[in-house]
Amino acid sequence: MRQKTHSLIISFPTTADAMAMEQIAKLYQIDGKLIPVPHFMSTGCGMAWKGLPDDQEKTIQLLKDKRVEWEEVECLEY
Amino acid sequence: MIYLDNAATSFLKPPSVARAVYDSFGQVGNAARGINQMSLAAERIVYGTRQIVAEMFQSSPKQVAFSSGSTESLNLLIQGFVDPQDHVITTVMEHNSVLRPLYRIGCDIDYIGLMPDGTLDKANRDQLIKHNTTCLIITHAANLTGVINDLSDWGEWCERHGIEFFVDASQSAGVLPIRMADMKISALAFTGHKGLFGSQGTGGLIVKQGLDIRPLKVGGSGIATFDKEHPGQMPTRLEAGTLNIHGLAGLKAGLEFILATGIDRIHAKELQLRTRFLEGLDDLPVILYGVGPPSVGIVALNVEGEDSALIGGYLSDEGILIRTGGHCAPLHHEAFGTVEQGMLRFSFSYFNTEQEIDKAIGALRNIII
Repeated sequence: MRQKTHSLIISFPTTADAMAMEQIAKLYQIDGKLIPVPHFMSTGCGMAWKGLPDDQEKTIQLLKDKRVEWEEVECLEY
Repeated sequence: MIYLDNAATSFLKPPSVARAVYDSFGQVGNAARGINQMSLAAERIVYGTRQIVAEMFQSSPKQVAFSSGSTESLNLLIQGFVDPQDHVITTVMEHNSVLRPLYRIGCDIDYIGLMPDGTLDKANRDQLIKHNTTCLIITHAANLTGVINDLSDWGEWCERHGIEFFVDASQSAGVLPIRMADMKISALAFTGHKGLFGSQGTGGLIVKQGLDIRPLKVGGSGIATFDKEHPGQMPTRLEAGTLNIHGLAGLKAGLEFILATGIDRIHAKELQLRTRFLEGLDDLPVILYGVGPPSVGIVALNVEGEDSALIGGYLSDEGILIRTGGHCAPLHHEAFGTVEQGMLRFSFSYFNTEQEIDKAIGALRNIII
C-alpha cells in the first residue's frame, strides 16, 4: 500500500470551481493536483484539490480573491 | 459556389476550428466524470471555453451553461422561467425558437410591432406593462432583416419596470459587442455555429447570478450521484448529460479567432460587403426590407410579384447560395406583408469577398433584367 501523506484536501461545489483551482495553482505555483473527491467529504463535485497543508492559508485566500467557491477543507493523512 | 447564407450557419470558418475539433478526438474523455487525464483534458476544454464566453459577453465562467444551440438555450430559458399565469413582452422580429416555447406555455403575450423603416416601434411600449409582466424577450439582431435592437436602451427600460431582460443573440454573437452587465441583460442565448464560427450542435445560455431557471433536463451530472435531485449550482444545473466536448473544442477556437481579430473589425467587414451589395442593387427593380437602420451583414429583398423561392432557385442554379421563404420568423413576415412571397435573404460573413458580392449581383441582374 502506498504511504499516505499529510495533505490539504479541498472540495468544490462544481467542476468549474475545481478547474479554476487548477488554473490558480498553476498561475501561483501552488503544489498539488486534482483527485477524486474522498468518501469522507459528503458534498462537492467529483473532484477535490490535494495540496500541502502549509499552503492552506495562501490557497484559501486566493480562492476568495478569485471568487472561486469551495465547500470543505481538511488537513489529514491521505 | 458562393455562400451567402451565413445567417443560417457560417460555412467558411477559421482553419483552427476544424483542426481543434479533429484534434480533440485524440485527446479527450468525458468532462466532469473523474480525474483521469482524459477526463481532465475534456474538462479543461470546457472550462477554457466557459472563460472565453464569459470574457466576450461580460459574465463569469460559472454562469455559462452549454447547449446544442440557440433553440435549446431559448427553450431552457423560456420553459424554465415563464409560467402560464405570466405576461411576457416580446417582438414581431422573433424566431420560432422564442415564439413556440411561449405558445406552448400558454402565457399572456404582447408584441412590440414594427415601424415602416423596419425598426421596433417603441412609442407605446410603457403601456404594455402589466402587473404580471415578468420579462422581455428580444432578439439583438433580426434574423430576417439584420436590423439591430439597442440593448442598452431595452435593458434600462426593463430595469425601470422591474422585469427580466432576455436576449436572443443568434445573429449578433461574435459580430456585435455584448456586455451583459452594462446592458443589464438577465440571460443571453447564443449559438456556436453562426458568428462564433463553431460547429453545429454548440451554443449556450448565460444567466446572471441569482436568476433561477428551472432545468428542463435532469440526469447525469458526474457529481452528487446519490442525491435524488439534479445539482442546483450553475452551470451543472442546466447541463444534464454529456456535453459536446468536440464541438466545444471547435467553438473555443472560433472564439479565440474572434477575440484575436476583433469584433469591431469583423462587423466592419460585414458592413463593407453589405454596402457594396446594396450599391450593386441600385438600378435593379427590387424591394428592400429594413436596410436603413443599423444592421448586421444581412440584406432582405424581393423581386416584385415573384415568389422568393423561384428567384432563390435560379440563384442556386448560378451557384449563389442564399435563404428564401419564411426564415422561421412568421410575425416578421406578417408585419412586412410577405407571408405568401417570403423573402430572399443574403447574409455575409467576414470570410466573404467583394468579388463574391459582385458575382452575386451579376447573377441577380441576369435573372431579373
